[in-house]
Amino acid sequence: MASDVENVVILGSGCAGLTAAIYAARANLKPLLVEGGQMGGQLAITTDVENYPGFPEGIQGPELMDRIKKQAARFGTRFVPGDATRIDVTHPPFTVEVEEKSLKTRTLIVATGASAKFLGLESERTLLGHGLSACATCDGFFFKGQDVLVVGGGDTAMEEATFLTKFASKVTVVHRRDTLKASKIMQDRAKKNPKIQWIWNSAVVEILDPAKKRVTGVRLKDVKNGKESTVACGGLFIAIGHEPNTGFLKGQVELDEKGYLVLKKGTQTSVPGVFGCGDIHDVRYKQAVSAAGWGCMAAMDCERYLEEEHSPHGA
Amino acid sequence: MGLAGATAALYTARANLKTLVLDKSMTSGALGVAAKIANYPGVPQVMSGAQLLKTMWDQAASFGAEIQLEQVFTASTSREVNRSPTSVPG
Repeated sequence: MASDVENVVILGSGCAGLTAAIYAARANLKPLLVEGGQMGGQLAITTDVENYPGFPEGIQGPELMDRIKKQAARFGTRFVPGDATRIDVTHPPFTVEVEEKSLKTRTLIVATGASAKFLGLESERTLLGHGLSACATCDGFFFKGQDVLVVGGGDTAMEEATFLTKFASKVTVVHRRDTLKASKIMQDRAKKNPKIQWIWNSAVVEILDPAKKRVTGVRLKDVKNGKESTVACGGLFIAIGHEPNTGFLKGQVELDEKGYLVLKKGTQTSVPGVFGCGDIHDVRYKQAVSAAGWGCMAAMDCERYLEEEHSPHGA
Repeated sequence: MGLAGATAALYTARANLKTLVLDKSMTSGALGVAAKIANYPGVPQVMSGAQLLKTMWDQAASFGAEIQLEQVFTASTSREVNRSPTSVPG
């Protein structure tokens, strides 16, 4: 096979992609990693990380990602900036288009993740990690004894609100409608919880206070009568869902009805030689450490696939 | 006392669940006896498995997980809490 064909191209530079790179590089596969729009993935925009094992004092998200990147580089990973815009995996070698460049590769590890949906307010950029969060499991602990708000009306919002009552003095769910989309069991659990209060038919129109660089409250608008009000809080959790970054995979590998990558037997996708890991398939855990674990698995599956491809009795 | 147990303890303790960890020694898992670790993401410097594990146990303990050095021989999943399983200290 021509020398310009890579052994493995990894798409994504979050915990999953970078861990796959460490393992692939240490297995001498000389991986090429396409960084994507945000080097370091979701953790690059996270402040304190207390639940990644190995850091008893905690670590800042960008620092953790920098360390993992250096580790991947030390074993020979090469990095390409930019986003993969199109792939063709209908026949080997696979093609990956990264902006103007076209890469050829024998295998592909897709780790482009999922993005938490936000409200689209300018202040969200400033306040994310400073009282604003999209992950109660990650950040709930920081809100001991405070009043927090949860935005959303689905299962995620119910789960986040219920979880947050372990820490917060009061949790208020803000929802645009007067009924919830959440399943009955999740609704019941939240509604029975004496620490949870409800604000119906209301949308968050502004988060306070970007000037202070921390969340102090929100401005709400009643969607029925247009009246605005201010509610004070120490933390705001946006729980309106996630969106997998899989647009460029459509028609090439199997995705589920919500656009998440479908994996079988570990990290295999519907196309042999294409593997997936991290939040791109994980709707349940979405943790740095679990994504790293899947990244390791994808690299090991990929290595085995390449070995079998080489052997005369292989697949 | 491996990485899985330490991480489970870290998550449950941090979710405010009273957490007790039992194992016969700090180095009974595969990681505990590894001389050098270079592929644990986030730890670019090479360290011993026991050193790395210690950081993880410290982290779980900092959120309230309690660790006891005891060897567990049998466990009962019966809901009768008073009928405690036979356990011989290791």
